Amino acid sequence: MSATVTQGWPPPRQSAARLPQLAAVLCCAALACGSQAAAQDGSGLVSGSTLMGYQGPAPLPGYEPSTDPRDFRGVWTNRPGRGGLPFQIAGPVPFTARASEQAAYRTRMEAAGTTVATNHIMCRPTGASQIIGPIAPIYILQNDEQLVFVVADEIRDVRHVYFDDAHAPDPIPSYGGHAIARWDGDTLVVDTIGFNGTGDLNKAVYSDELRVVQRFTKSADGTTLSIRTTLTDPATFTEPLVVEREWVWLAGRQPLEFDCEENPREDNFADMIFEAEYLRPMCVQHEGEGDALSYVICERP
Amino acid sequence: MSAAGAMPLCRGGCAATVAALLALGGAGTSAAQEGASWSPESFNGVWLIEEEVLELRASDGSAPPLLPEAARIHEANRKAYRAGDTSFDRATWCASPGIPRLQLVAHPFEIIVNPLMVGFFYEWNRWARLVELTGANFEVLYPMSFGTASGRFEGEALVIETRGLMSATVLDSMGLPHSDELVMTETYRLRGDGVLENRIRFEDADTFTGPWETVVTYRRQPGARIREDVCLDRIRQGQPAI
Repeated sequence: MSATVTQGWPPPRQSAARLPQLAAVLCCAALACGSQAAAQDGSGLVSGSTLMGYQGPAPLPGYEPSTDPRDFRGVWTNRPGRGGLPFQIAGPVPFTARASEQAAYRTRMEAAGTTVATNHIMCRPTGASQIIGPIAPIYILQNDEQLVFVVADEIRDVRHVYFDDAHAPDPIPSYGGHAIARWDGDTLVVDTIGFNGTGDLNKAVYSDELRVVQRFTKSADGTTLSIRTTLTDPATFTEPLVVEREWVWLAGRQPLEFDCEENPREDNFADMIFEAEYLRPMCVQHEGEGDALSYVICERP
Repeated sequence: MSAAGAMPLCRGGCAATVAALLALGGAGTSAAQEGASWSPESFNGVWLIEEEVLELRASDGSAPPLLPEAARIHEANRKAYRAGDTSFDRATWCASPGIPRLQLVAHPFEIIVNPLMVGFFYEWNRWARLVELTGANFEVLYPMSFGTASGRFEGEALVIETRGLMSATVLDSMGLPHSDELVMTETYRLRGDGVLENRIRFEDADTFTGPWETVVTYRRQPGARIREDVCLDRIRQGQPAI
C-alpha cells in the first residue's frame, strides 16, 4: 500500500449542499408528523408544507397526476408513517439468529456512540434500504423499455428497472441488484436479484440470495402508489418479509444533489469500526493548520 | 415546440423511431430532413463521446479566452496534471466532476426524455442530472456540481441553460477553471448518422474575457445499458478514478 496524491484542496468550507441534506435527515427523523398532518387534512397528499410545518416549494406548472395506471412518471415521496421510516422497516423483523445477533451488536455499538461502517455511511449504493424506504423524493422517468427511479436530494440513488422477460443468466453481483419489470394487469411487478450481499436492513447485512419482489399499484386518481414488497433471504429472514408502503404524488420538486464523496473528513472515520475491509476509506481529507489549506490524500493499493 | 404533455408512453413506438434514426445517413442532416419522425424521445438512448476531451478548445480551435488570474490557475493545473498530480480535481477522490466534465470523458451516459423532465444518467459513479422541461424558473439555491438547469425544445434542438455551477469543479481534465457565475448553454441536435451534437456556450465574466463556444459529439450505443459503477471500489482496485 502506498500513499499519494494531493494537496491544495480549497479551504474547509461548510458545503452549502449539506445544508438541505441535513434538513432532509432531520425531516426524515420526524416523518411521522407529516403522516399525521396528511391524514388530518384528509387530502391524502403530502406536500412540503405538511412535513414539520416546512413551507415547501410551490407546485410546478405541468405537474398534474396522471390517471393512466401505467404511467408512473413524475415525483413521488414515501408516505410517512406507513410501514416505517426511510431506510428502516417498522415492527418485528423475522431475523435469523445470525442476523438478529448482528443487528443487536450494531444497536449496542450505536448506543455506545460508535459507528459501524456500512454501505450507506461509506458512500456505496444502499440497495434494498433505498428500494424499500427512499429517504428523499423519488423522481421516476419511464419509457417502454425501462423505469428509472432517482433519489437525488439525499443518499443519491439511481435504479434502472428494465421491462425484460427474464433476468440475465448470471447477473454481475451489485449493490443495487438486477431488476426487471412486468405488468400484471395494471400492477407493476419489479423483481430484483443479484445483490452482492453487502447491504443491510435494520442493521443486519443481507445475503447475496436476497430477492425483492415489489408490486406497485396506482390509485385511480393518480396520486398514490401502493407498494407491497416481499423480501426473501433464508440467510437473513426466517420467513418471507412483507412490507407495505405508499408513495404519494408531489407536484414537482427542484432537483438537488447529494455528493457523498465530497468531503471525506478524517474525523468522520476516526472512531469508526470497519467490519469489512472494502469500506475503509482510500481518500481522507486532512484539515490544514492555521491558514493552511485542507488537503485530500488518496492511498493507492 | 414544447415537449410538455406531448409524450404519451410510446409502447413500442420509440424503438421504431430510434431504428429509423439509426438507418439514416449523412452527417449534419437532421432527422426531419431525412424523413424520419422526430420526437423529443428521439434523444433517448445510451451515448458515448466520440473523442474524449482532455482539454477544451473553442470550436475554432483557439484556447478559451481566460482572464489573467484564471489563466494563472489553469497553467498551474496543467503543470500539475502533466506531473501526475490531480489534486485540483475533486474526481480524484470520487467527488462529482459535474458538468460539462462528465460529458467530456469516455464514460457512457443515457438520456431519457419525459414530458416533465429530461434525465441524463451517467455511468460514472451513478450520477443523474435531472433537467426540468416545465419552464419552471428555479432559483439557484446554492452552487452544485450539476448546477440549476432548465431545458426547452427549439425546433428539433434540446436547449439547456445551467447556472449555479460550483467553482470547486473544473471544466476539463486539465483543470480549466470557472466561477460560480458561469452560465452554460447546451444545444443538443441529433444528426442523421447516429451522432448527437452538443454545442456548448460558456459565459463567465469572472473567468473569461467573453463568451465562447465548443462542440462535442457523441455516438449512439445501440443495446448498451448503464451499469452500476462505484468509483470508491474502482480506486481500491488500483483503477483510475476517472
